[in-house]
Amino acid sequence: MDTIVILIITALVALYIALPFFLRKKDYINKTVESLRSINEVDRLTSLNNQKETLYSAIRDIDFDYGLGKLSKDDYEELNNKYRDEAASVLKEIDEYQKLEEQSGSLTPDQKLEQEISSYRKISTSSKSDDVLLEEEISAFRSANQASLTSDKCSKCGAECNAEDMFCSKCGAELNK
Amino acid sequence: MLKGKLKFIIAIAIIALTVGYLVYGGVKDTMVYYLTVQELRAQVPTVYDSRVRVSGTVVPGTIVKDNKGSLEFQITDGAETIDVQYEGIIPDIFADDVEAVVEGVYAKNDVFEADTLLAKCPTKYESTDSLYENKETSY
Amino acid sequence: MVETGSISIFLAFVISIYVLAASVYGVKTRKWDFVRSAENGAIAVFFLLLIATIALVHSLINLDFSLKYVALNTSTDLATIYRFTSLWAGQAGSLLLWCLVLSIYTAIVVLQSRNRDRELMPYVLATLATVSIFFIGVITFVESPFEKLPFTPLEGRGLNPILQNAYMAIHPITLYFGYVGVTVPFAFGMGALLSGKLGDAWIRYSRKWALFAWTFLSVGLLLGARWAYLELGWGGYWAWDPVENAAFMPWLAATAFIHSVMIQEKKGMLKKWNMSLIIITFFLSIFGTFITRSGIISSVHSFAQSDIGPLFLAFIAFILLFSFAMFLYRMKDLETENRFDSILSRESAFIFNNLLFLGAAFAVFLGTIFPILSEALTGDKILVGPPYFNRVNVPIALVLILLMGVGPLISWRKASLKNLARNFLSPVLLGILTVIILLALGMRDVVALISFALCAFVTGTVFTEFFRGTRVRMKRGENFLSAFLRLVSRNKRRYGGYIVHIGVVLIVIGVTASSVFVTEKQATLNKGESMELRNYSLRFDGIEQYTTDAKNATIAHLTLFEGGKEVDTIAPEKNIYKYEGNREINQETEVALRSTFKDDLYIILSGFNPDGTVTIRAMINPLVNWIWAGGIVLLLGAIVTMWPSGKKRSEQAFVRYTVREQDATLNA
Repeated sequence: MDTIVILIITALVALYIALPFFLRKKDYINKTVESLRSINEVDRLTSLNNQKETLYSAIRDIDFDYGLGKLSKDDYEELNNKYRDEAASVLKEIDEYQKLEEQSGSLTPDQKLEQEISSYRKISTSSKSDDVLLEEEISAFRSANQASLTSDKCSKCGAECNAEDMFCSKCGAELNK
Repeated sequence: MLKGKLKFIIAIAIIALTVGYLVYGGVKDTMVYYLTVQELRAQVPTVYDSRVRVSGTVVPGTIVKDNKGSLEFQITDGAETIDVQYEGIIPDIFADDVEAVVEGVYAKNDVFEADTLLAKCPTKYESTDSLYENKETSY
Repeated sequence: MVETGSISIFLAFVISIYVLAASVYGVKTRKWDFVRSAENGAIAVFFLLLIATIALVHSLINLDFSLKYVALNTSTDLATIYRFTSLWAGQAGSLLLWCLVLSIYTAIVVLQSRNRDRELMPYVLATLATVSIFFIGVITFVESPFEKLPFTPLEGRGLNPILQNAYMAIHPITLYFGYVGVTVPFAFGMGALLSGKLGDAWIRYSRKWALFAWTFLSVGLLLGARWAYLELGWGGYWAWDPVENAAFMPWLAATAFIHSVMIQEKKGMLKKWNMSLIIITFFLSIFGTFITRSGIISSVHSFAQSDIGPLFLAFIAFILLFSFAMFLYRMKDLETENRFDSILSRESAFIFNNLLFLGAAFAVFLGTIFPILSEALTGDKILVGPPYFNRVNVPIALVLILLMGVGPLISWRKASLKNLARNFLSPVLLGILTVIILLALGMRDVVALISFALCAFVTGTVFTEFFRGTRVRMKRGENFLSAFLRLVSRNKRRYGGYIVHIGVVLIVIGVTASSVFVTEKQATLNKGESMELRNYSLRFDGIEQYTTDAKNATIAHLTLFEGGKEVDTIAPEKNIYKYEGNREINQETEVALRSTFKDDLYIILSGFNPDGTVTIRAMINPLVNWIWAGGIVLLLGAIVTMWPSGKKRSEQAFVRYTVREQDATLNA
């Protein structure tokens, strides 16, 4: 009994491991990556997208921290500008990759998929310039947080205060809400 | 910027030194020598009243328990034997012939006053010897 | 079945070598079909080890005593569930389980990232395969679970009765998932070093896996502590035993890693530090396995020991040399992108947190290996006991708790004094208030006072965070509940982390109270006599003895009075197992525990005498239940943190976009 089971297991395992080599005749894997673009480019694009996500969440974070009064106004503006600059350059690079693809044209032989991909491109890049796109994307989520960021003036001493605060941070007077 | 960096280095150095000091002081104040019975007996005049840990096998038949939970027994390493007195929780596996580890003070009357008693399983290795007792006869 | 099992292990060994070779060859020469084949190999290894494990479980449950492992760890009177759990009661079975868990993780890594990070993944796979080769090699050639005895005994040696406990059944396996889980982030780190892809990919994967492993380690440690508390019968849950330290050290390093990794993600700093940390964490986890298994350091816990020590030592040396050599080789690519702006910032709070965790890990490590070290250096074997560990770790822990409160409220980059005063006023007041109340209640222990004050402070800061965050959202017109839920779900990592911190606070409160304020008393009682303990009184009502197939049990019946009123009956036991001889332990003290959130009444029957008296040791351990409750909160927080988020539209679209393109050519 055992011998038969062992033989079957061994055969199955060998077959499974050797499978990619048989399929090689169709030459599918090598073609996949090499013909599309180098894998470095795929990695780079993945990494850019991750950087974008990280920067967005960093901007969301400082927005929120500013709303909570954990960041001073100066620091907030400085950080915000810095992150937005970085986000701009990342988005620009992503766009360059995607433009490159459009130019090279005959990427995917399959018509249906071609359509699907180009429809995605329409949503994401359309015909707008980089800066417009960035502005749109960044302002979209910033507007969500805007409510908390408006600043009030203290009625007593005139200092700028966060709308969040109950008391003026300069003179301590109660803020009217 | 240099000033900021310096502050960091100072702060890190303080942490490192504090940890180092805690480790050093901890080792210095809490260390105990781990001796065999023979080694303990060899250091007899100097070892009195200092805290040591001794390991040895419990001599069969020497365990005396009294009602109040205190315990007397002897441990040996084959060469020498000492009397041990102990009060506290007795480990479940403590019995004749197990390897016992006691920590405490060797008093001048040559009785080891232990406040910690650990017992180790008699088999250090997964021994198959005991299985031979149950050897199937029909085999 | 047995043949199938042992051949499966052998096949798994051979295929692991193939996986290592094929993945490295494939990525070096860009022959991706080799990488594919290696990936399939990794999945095949999982199935083979699964077959082997099933075969061993089958033998254990059917008590096939012709196998050494079965004969050593089971017996005919063992309940089926414990026949199954004896899979990890002995050396060979544990190692098989180690391999199986590693192969599960490897298969998940392969399946998750088949089409991503093609330069990085083959090296990750190669690292995982290398670790597999070592462990599978050990169970193939040195400690085979399928080793046969030259004869078939009628009866096995049986499972140690103190291992026959529900906690013992799940605690080792939980720890294993943690221990082995550490291998995966390490493999990503090594993959990054080997491939030179030192971007953010490895750190993202590593963070998730490290968090996963950390959660298992934490829960495993707590389950182990609970087991020791219930079963070992000395009234405590942690004794700084080498085996406990073995699991505690990688936990400390992993905790440092999951914090500092955030800095690298957000700021591109601390790259070298993180890389070293993950190497150290992995080293400590293997070292932990080594000291548990080799018996090089004497411990009351190490159940199964053997002479695989030198093998492990060689493997550890190889890992350390190889990984730090790679680290030096890539050093210049690990330059930091940013620098620290101010000492009063969240970044520096993280740095200090890391230094302290590492300092604690170092102190524990030193204390654990001190006997070996001192013997090698001076010839004398010198031990450092629990007082050493407490003295070093308590101050470090207190500062860490302080940082746990400071960290969340301090701002990134630079905190101003104004900001500090504003954010910290109420938590600090809460801390001071706690001290005043406790002083008024008569507490005079300085360490306990500091600890409780810090716990109140941390709780204050965490609640401030939740409260203010919720209020900001409520300003936008959400009601309290939805504002709160959205707050958490929108930033699961941050708020999940806070929940974990609350869990830690509960644990700290429990540990402080139960280690500082223990009341202990021992008395020998005649029937009808009572012993007093604080406001409790215990009356001894008599002894009951009975016999079952397995044991002779003696039960002392006691009635508990609290403030003069009868509240409960209590029955500690002492069992003597009939089937002696081959077992390591034939006597077992069954603790009677009356557990409330206020305190635990921990009662041990330490002896019974022919004259009808019993010796009872009773302890009041305050707030022990807070530790276990804290563990549950910690687990919940960790789950929140790891809960997968609904992928953002853009990311999803991107993934589909690239994957589709690849599929398109696949199908062409």
